[in-house]
Amino acid sequence: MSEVLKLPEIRSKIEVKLQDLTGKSIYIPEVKVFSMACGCRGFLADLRGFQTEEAEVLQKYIVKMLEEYSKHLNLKPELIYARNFPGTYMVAGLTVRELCERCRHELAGKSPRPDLIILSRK
Amino acid sequence: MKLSVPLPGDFDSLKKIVKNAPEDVCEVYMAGSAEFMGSGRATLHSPFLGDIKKQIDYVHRKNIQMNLILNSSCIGGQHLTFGGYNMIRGYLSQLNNLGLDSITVSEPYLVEMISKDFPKIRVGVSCIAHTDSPQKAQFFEKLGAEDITLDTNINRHFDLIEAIRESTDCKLKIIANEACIYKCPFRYSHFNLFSHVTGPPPKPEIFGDYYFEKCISLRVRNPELIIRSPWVRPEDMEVYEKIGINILKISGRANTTNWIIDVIKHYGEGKYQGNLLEILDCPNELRDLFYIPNEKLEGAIHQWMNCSKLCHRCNFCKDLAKKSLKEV
Repeated sequence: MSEVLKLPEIRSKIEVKLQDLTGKSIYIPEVKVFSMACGCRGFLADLRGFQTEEAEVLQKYIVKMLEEYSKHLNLKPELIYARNFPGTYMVAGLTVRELCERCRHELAGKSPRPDLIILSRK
Repeated sequence: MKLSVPLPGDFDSLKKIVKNAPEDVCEVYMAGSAEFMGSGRATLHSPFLGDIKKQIDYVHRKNIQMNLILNSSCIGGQHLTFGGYNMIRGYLSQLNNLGLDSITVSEPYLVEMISKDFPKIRVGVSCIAHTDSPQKAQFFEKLGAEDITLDTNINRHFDLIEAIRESTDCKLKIIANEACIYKCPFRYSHFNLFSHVTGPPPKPEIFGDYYFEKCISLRVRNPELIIRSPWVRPEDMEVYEKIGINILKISGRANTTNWIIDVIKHYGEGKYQGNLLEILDCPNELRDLFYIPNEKLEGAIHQWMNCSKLCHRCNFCKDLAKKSLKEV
């Protein structure tokens, strides 16, 4: 099955898993695979109803789950992060990213940008 | 020349930036708390008062000053209501107690209010106040401003910068790497949008940033606009120092910490080799589409020092774009 055809199933599974982990209603309106001009590529799930504290507490479960789906999409999960909607406790999205050389430098460190919660780095 | 450098707003980034800052850095700046007022840029981390205090104390130990940016271009008239006035004044009182060095605003009323009621805090005028003439500079100085960040649209109008220098005792700052479109028709609307999106509720639930997307699209179609943007190369800083600019401000507080550190390094050294777009804040997205070797721009400033800015009669920037800019 092509990677794109797996996306509806992956979207649904991540949504259910996050709901199970938090016991809260969480919605994923959209998942997408991306390729950036710089050379990075990856996978992004937009989130509604997920909080930064939950991302931090559930870090290892989220990472395990996203690493698993990365395999289905032939992605190396080099960097996994949650993006906070600035000024709120909302997590706007979860991203798995294979980095280009420049972004590997710019996104290095524990806190490369204050709206990013780094969940895993390899 | 002294440098004023951006902070994303969190303490970790501050420590990294200060640790790597060259000696020329005299000031760091960041947005204030979004609950009180927005700012002219995307704000990735909105520090609370305790956070701001911690950061002020840290930079003071390093002999660097802290500047807070409250440069919303539109407060929706709230500052002139009793509730809004009390809220803003209360916030400023708290900042005053934290030992903050300076605040940058774009609203003239706030220039006067801060200088009158909070004399320990220096008040600066943001580039968003569009100071582009000696008359405006004098106006703000009389309201109580101690420094003015000039409208970036006049970065290459050396006659105007010299006239402003003659007309005021305020310290003058220019932004080096903002690189917005010269005479951009979106400028006011875009700053207003940011002011509301980064400010207190009600925030508009926008479906997209029209101004940004249009700006980038225009430059993709017409890369000459990138050359015409009023950026300042690290190598050309001394030209501005000679005509009396006191501080060079580096733009980019919505970028990654390492990007900010790299850009500060190049301006600190006064030289840079590579794609100019790597060190520009605004059309940074285009760095993977275009390559503009900085060294090929050597000497262009001499043209701009004597340029009439009547672009339709002059092909200098167009020719320079053809000669220097390559698609990646």
